[in-house]
Amino acid sequence: MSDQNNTTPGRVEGLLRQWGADEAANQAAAELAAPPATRKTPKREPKPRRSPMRTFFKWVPAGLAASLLLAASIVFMRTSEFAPQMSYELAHDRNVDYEAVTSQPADKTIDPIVDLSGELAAAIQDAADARKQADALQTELTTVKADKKSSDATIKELLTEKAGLAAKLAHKVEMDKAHEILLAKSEQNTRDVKKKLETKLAAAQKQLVDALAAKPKTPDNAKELAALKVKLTVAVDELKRQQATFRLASIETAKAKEALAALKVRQNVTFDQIRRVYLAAAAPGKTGIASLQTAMKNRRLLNRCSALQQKSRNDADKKLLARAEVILMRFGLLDVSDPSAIKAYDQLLAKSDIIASLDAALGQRATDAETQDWLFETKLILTGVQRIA
Amino acid sequence: MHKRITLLLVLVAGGFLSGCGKSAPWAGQAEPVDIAQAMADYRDALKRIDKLEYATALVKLERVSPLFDQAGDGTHAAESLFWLGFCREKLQYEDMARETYVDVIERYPLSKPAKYAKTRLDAMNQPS
Repeated sequence: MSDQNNTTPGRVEGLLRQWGADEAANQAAAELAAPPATRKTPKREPKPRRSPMRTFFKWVPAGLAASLLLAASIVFMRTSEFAPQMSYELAHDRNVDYEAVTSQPADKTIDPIVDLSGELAAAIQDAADARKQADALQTELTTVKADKKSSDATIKELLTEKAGLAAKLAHKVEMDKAHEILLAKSEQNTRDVKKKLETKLAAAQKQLVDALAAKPKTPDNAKELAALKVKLTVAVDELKRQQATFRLASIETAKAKEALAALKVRQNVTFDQIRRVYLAAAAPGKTGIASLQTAMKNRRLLNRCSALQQKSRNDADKKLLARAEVILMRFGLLDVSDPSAIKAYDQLLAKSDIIASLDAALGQRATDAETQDWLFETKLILTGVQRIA
Repeated sequence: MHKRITLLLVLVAGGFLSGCGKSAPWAGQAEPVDIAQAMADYRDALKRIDKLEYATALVKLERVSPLFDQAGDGTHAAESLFWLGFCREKLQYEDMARETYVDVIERYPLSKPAKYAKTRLDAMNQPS
């Protein structure tokens, strides 16, 4: 067979040609039998076009329902029980760190190994940074602790010195008041004496004039007249002397008033200095009304007041502590960013006699040291408000 | 399809409206809040507290506090509620005072009155 094949190449070629022709014929027949792949489905009849108005009216109920839903949701939000708190929540939400959210890395398509090594390096760097930050915080904490210790020591020292100073101040205030009363009395006395003398002089003059008019000049009358003239001269001299005394007293009174005013100024300056030291220790880094609020908070004035009220056996002290507590609490609730609120509080202090009551209580020796400290600190805060406002 | 969407929207809106409860504007009992009058009463109540007249202040605050709440004035609502608790505490209604302070803390947690309420609550809970 193989010999035959090898010897008849022309025949093989013929067979191959025959096979090719058969294949071509079969393919052609198959193509004819199958439907062409690109043949399109017959087109349907086009639908009749809808009217736009019909479509619109069809969706009107849905639109109305959507509006109703929107209105209902607004009403729900406004009327639900958590609505009043929304202002606080919104204020809180504003503090969210959006940077952290937006700085998320984008989806990376780089080689995972390179990516991981990069992340590792970043993590190592982050850890080093964190360690540095922790060290810095530790240092800061140590400094803050030292500062606090120092502040506490200063306040303690201040309060120790304050006891004597407060007593001195109270004594001075008492002396000033006594001095003022004495001056007023002295002025009144001088005025009274002058008035009496003037009355006396007027009466003597009248008596003399009447005597001269009523009686003719006889030797007896002349004697009487001479006596009256002497009386008049004495009265005039007395009046002159009293007038001189009155002038001197007036000069002395003016001097004393000036000295009193100077003393009050000195007292205020001293008190301001004490307040400055107190605030520097109790509210470091703060200024204005905020420093007073911070000092009140840091020195736990309200907590101490509650404890003092429970301990106090004196009704007057209890009442004063209760009044001062309310005043301080109102100060604590004050919005320091609202100037009108600060002004209103200042007016409240001006109308109230709380500072005078604190002064009076500080002047009393009967009040215990703890209460005295509290009263003095409260006075520093409240007078500070008046000073700043 | 549009019918289904409409039905869904109506149902959801109905749900919201039923959630509005009594405080809905058309519920009948809600009247417009006279905020100026409420503020005047509140100031008067504070004056009473300054004079240690807690009972009179309490009566005013009980009336005024819900009005601020109703008007959506969170700041004054929180403050008036705190002072209400304070008056109750001073008048020895301790349980009611505690409840009021807790109310302030829960409803206005970030406010200054809430901090003060917490301080007073802690002081009340300490054994004397």
